[in-house]
Amino acid sequence: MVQLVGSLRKELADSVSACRVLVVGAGGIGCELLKNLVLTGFKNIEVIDLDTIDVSNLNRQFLFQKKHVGKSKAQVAKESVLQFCPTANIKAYHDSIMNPDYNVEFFRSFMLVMNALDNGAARNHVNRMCLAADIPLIESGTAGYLGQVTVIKKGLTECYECQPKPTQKTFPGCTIRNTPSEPIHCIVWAKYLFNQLYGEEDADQEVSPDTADPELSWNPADTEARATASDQDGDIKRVSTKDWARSTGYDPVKLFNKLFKDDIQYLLTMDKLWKKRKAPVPLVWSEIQKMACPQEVAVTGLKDQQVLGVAGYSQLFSSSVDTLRSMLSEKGDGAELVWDKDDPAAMDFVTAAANLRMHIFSMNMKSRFDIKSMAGNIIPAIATTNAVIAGLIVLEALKLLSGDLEQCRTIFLNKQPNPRKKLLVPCALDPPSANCYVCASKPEVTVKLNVNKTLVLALQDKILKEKFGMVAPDVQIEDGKGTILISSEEGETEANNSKFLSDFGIRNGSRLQVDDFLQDYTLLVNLIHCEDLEKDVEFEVVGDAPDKAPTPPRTQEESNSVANGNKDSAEPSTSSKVPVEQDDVLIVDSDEEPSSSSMDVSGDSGLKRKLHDAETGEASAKRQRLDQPAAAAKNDEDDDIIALD
Amino acid sequence: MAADSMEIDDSLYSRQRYVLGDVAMQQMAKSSVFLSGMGGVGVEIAKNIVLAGVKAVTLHDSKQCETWDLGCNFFIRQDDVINHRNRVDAVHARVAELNPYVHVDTSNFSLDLSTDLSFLKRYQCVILTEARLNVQKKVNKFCHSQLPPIRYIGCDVFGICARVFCDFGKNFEVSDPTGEESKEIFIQDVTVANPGVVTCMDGRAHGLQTGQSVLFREVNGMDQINGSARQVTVLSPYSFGIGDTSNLQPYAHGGFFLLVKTPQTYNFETMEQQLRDPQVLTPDFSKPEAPLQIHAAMLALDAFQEQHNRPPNIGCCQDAEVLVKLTEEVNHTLTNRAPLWAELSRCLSRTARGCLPPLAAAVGGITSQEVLKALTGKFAPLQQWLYLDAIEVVKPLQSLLAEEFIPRGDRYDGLRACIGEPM
Ligand SMILES: [Zn+2]
Repeated sequence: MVQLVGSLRKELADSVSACRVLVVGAGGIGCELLKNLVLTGFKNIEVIDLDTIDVSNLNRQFLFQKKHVGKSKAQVAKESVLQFCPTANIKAYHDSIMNPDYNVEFFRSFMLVMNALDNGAARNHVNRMCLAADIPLIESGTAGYLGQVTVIKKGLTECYECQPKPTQKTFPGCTIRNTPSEPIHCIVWAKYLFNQLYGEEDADQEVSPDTADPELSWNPADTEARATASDQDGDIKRVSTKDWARSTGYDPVKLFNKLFKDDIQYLLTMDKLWKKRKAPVPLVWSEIQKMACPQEVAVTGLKDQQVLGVAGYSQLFSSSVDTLRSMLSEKGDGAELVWDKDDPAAMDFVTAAANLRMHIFSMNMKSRFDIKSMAGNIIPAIATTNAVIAGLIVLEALKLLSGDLEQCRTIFLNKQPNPRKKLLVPCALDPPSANCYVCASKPEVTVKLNVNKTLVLALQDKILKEKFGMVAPDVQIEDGKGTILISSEEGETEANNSKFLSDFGIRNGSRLQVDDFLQDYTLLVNLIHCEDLEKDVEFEVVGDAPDKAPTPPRTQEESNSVANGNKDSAEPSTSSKVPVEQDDVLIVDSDEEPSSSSMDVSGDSGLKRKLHDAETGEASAKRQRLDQPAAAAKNDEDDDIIALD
Repeated sequence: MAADSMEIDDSLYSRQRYVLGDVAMQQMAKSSVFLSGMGGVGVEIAKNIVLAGVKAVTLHDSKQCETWDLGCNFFIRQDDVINHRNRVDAVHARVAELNPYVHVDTSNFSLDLSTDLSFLKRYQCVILTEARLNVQKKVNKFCHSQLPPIRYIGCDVFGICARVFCDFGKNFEVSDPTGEESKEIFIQDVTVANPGVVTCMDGRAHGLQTGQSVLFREVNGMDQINGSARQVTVLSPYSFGIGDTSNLQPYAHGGFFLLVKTPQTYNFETMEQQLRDPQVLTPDFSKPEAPLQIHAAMLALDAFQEQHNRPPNIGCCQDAEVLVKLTEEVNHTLTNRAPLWAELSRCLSRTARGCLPPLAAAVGGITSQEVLKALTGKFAPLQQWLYLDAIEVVKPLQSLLAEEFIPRGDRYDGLRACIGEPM
């Protein structure tokens, strides 16, 4: 045995007991992680979580009990852990990690940060804070039986954002409004419809036929036919959907006939659309009512697993419209309803409307249970996966603290052990990507947009905050004068918000210096003026993974499933304003669809693989190479890699 | 209440329903599990399967709480140690509290070679942790011989090494090996020919494999094909043959097909049969021989315990060399062997009495997942051994003096045996 009493020993000893660690998130992974940390001798632990405890957490977050429902996750987790390890020194914060109080200094006070998070925005933020503070980060996520753990160390490994991720996928408006081809398109449409009728109206959430569909040619006859059909619609098009619905007193029959008969007939006039597709079949309320409502046969299984017929869903539509109308009127004038998957009437409405539309477009209807999972973006979760991942996190932490980064791994957990779908797949860590717009030494990025059509506000919200994950950006134009375009100080540049970029002399080739003070992050943005961006695309990041893959409708849906779990990017639609509880999140690869659930995307692995490769191609190629080469060679379908979001 | 109409408490189980599906959830809610050993890994398994929602769990253990347990078992408290409570009594209420739907009871008889095993017949799954190999073999053999077989899982964590062994019987049927929902795929065309060729709509990939069957629905024109299942010969990612269609009406439009799920049968051998030529999973292809090497080292550890009636002593170099020797001997008996990994045997010997909580947590999670598979027949099971090690964590610590690992009578003794003095 080697007789060297190295400094390692002292380091690990000191590390474990004296070192301060930060756990971000006290949900599914977080609870397990806190337990493992104290059992492993970690003494100084701080934990932060914004959430309060919900009943549905109790099935996996074992530090919580029924009596704790409604209380702070971080606080209760701390108290529960102290019961079995009274000597631990734990500090709990019921707060968002994105709060500016948790600045670089705060992060610097830890030896190690561990993420047990549920959403991409917070993951991006913690990634940057750890890079800025130069503190190692262990990142993790789970979805169903799948999980992943990885180690991030500034300058030595990939950061969380080195590999571009599918962000902010939305379905093209025309797919939702004119040519749905998948159940998810109808579900998104139904959620839009809910907001149009009862909630906050949003111009991006139109539900009526879209005459600007790029698939339509503009030959005069078509236009005329459409105009005629449009006349038949009377005034409908000219007032907002909500106003019109209100003017009918939310009459379920009138609503039904407009949505499922008139609008569909109007779509049929766009005959170009139906040359290669199966045309939709309008539904007429009176005819459906005449249909002898087939006795709802005693179906086996649970109520929410049943699929009703068209008559059943038209009844459900009608009754939910009535219920929502009274809910709305109870709230008084000008009130709005917020869609929530856990509100029975709202869920009934979306189930009914989505199914009726699916039927019209010749899709098989789905159960309320399935629709809830898709509409609510429910991430399947189970205690066992969190337990495995939280154990692996601490094993990685021990390697890291003993100074042995070389031995650290990215580990993927799969659901099926067999030679091709290995149960646990450790892969060596990749070095940082030189082009990363976050961890490169001078981060730089090129964005294509139309300077005459992009508002300063859109630059701030959609590009800098949403896409580039900043919290409070300051923007200066590199025009020699140092013009301040956006200031994070309140009240300084609000007047600029509604102006176009070109109003400030920004043109092709302009450069913006963007700073986020909290994240200690500076990004240089090169702008390329572009007039022919695709419809529904406001900007494009050059060199980014293509936002659109070969067959748009399919791909959009897949990206959704791929990004499933990411509160920000997975939400294709009206995001429910009530925060969806999602503690354990990641992106899952094609064949490893999260569940038995209903995501309705499995089976099409060929296409999905393509997408996957396009988006994380480099990463997956590298990771596969790290597997035993021989195995990789005979496994051309080696799909056992999941990419963490 | 009939199982298929059993209600599922969606407020509690909503997220898990989407992982397992209702059929599996109901299957689980009908199943009783026997779990022996309330050490670090045992309590992890107890927590996980009670949270998941089986019908009943019997926790079994015959030891008393010791200070040592405080560092591995998060449901044992100082108070339990002071009052010399049995481990199983100490954890009982705390495990039961995790899920009001699960009936949790306990037993504390001693389980050994003379125990009459007929009491196990009322369980669908039996899990042994902290059990000697010969007891494991006996219990496994009993479970394997029942009709239907009782699903057996053995799980051992010794210091830095862990193994999981599964035997779900001779013909274990998995209704749904992938857990993926069959997708309906729309049809562009079906030719009238021999073989008839189906083309998918919009260039969609069908994702099928030759030999699978698909079911047709709502096809117009070639009406006779509806409702029939046909075997597939894949021609391209977008098309496939379905046998002779030459006597059918021509295809007009519409329709879709979906994959018919075929149950898969898995054949398990007993632990006895699996010792010499183990079917092991290889989790890490950068060390492909590791599973067989750990297999040999852990069998050697079993042999050590038989010979000395104790595990190797913490940090003891002599015991470590004995274990290396034993590993070599075991290795010779294996039909499928890898070169001796002496360093692993040494590390295993020196840490075998210890407990590395994160390793126990990870292995407890994996074992629980296999329990759920055993009970539900959903997802392909582990065949048949899984080995994990945390040698990377302890390798740099070899330089430590033996006394760094010696117990001091506090809660961290188990951990200390693995990674040295953590204070
Ligand atoms: Zn990076």
